[in-house]
Amino acid sequence: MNKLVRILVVEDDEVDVINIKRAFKKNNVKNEVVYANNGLHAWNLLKGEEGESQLDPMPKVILLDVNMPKMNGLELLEKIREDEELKSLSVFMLTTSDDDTDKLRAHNLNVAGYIIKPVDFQKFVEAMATLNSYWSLMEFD
Amino acid sequence: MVAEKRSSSFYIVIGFFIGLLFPVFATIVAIYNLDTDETINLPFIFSLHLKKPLLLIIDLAIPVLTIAVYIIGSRQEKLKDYAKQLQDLNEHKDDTLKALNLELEEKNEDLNKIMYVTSHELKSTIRGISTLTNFLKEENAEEEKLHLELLLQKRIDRMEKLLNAMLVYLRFSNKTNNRTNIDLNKLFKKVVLDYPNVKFHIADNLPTVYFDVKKLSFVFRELIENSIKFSVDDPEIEVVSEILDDAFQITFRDNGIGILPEYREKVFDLYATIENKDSHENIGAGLAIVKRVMVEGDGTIEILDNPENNGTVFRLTLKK
Repeated sequence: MNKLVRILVVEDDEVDVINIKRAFKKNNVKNEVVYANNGLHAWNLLKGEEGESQLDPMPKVILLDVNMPKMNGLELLEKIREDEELKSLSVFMLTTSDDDTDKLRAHNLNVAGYIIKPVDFQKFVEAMATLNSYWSLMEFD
Repeated sequence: MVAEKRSSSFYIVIGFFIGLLFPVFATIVAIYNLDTDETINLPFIFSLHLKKPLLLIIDLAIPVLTIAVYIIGSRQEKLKDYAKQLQDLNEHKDDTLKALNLELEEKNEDLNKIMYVTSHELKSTIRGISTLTNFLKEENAEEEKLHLELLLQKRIDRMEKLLNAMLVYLRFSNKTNNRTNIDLNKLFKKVVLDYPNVKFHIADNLPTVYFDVKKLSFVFRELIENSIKFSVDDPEIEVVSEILDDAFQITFRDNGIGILPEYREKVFDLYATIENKDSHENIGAGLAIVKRVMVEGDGTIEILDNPENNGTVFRLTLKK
């Protein structure tokens, strides 16, 4: 049985998706990663709505961008925290935004971490490595 | 505080009585010097005045002083008027200053917001460029290289678009002060020439509106380009107008993909897009600038429900 947790990456920027994929590869992340390109798409995947089939198994970790069309990261996070089935998910905010109000809002919505996307890829790989050790711990739960 | 206003008759009476003091005093002196036993009555005083030229000259003090005091008095009143006007102006100036200050504060806040969102967008674009450049250095697979190069080119284009949009947004942020009467029939005839691939159905009874022609042309072009960008078939645009009591309404209807009700406010935010920026290469500035231009020109823009359920309907309202 595959014990690796499933990861959902919610990111609208194609370059950031490539960035994440490459950083995962560098860190030998073997977890299955599902990509959604905005908050609404992610919600539909998590709930099996609007013609999308619900993810099975459900992801345990979400990497969530803040600025996205249709439904932004904070809007999705609010919906997740209000949903019985989803509210215990570990959510890491992943964004270029260093706005304190965004951080505060995310913090109040109980995020596992808030990662400012660095310009330097190597730093991003390191951040992903830290995350990887975090969800490796979850896998032993 | 400005002193109370006095009527001109007040000054005439005062002048008359001051003037009268001189002949009265002169008459008393004259009678005293005359040392006469005659009864002192009005006819006697009159005959005395007629006999002595000096007294007659002194009598002139009555009209001279009446006129002089009247003139001084009216000048005084005029000065009071000026003082009152100045006082009003000052009070008014305070209000105007307060209003200007408020406007400035709003402008400043707005500018800060624009700078914040623009720098955020630029930062994210530059980060993309930097990431892609690094990946390109390491990438050996030809196909992936081409893909990365294409993405890089798109980011560079986006950067240029962002800077241009910011400049236009700032340039069009001033209150409209170049307004003229614009015959919309003529303006549309000119604008549509630049879009030969769009099928236009423009009513021929469009009104003449009072607006900045450059800004209004920008609004129309932006709406047309928006329709082209989000068209599914060959783009078609219908333009009609309605005349209200105090405004003109211009309605644009296209046959594109339309905008869902939940995004009809959001699309007017600066750099907000409904689709992913990568898929449409749309930076989300056009409609924000359109809204800005309309609001600064005391007009409005809104997206209406489309009963036929396809395409977007924009309604512009321009004050008469």
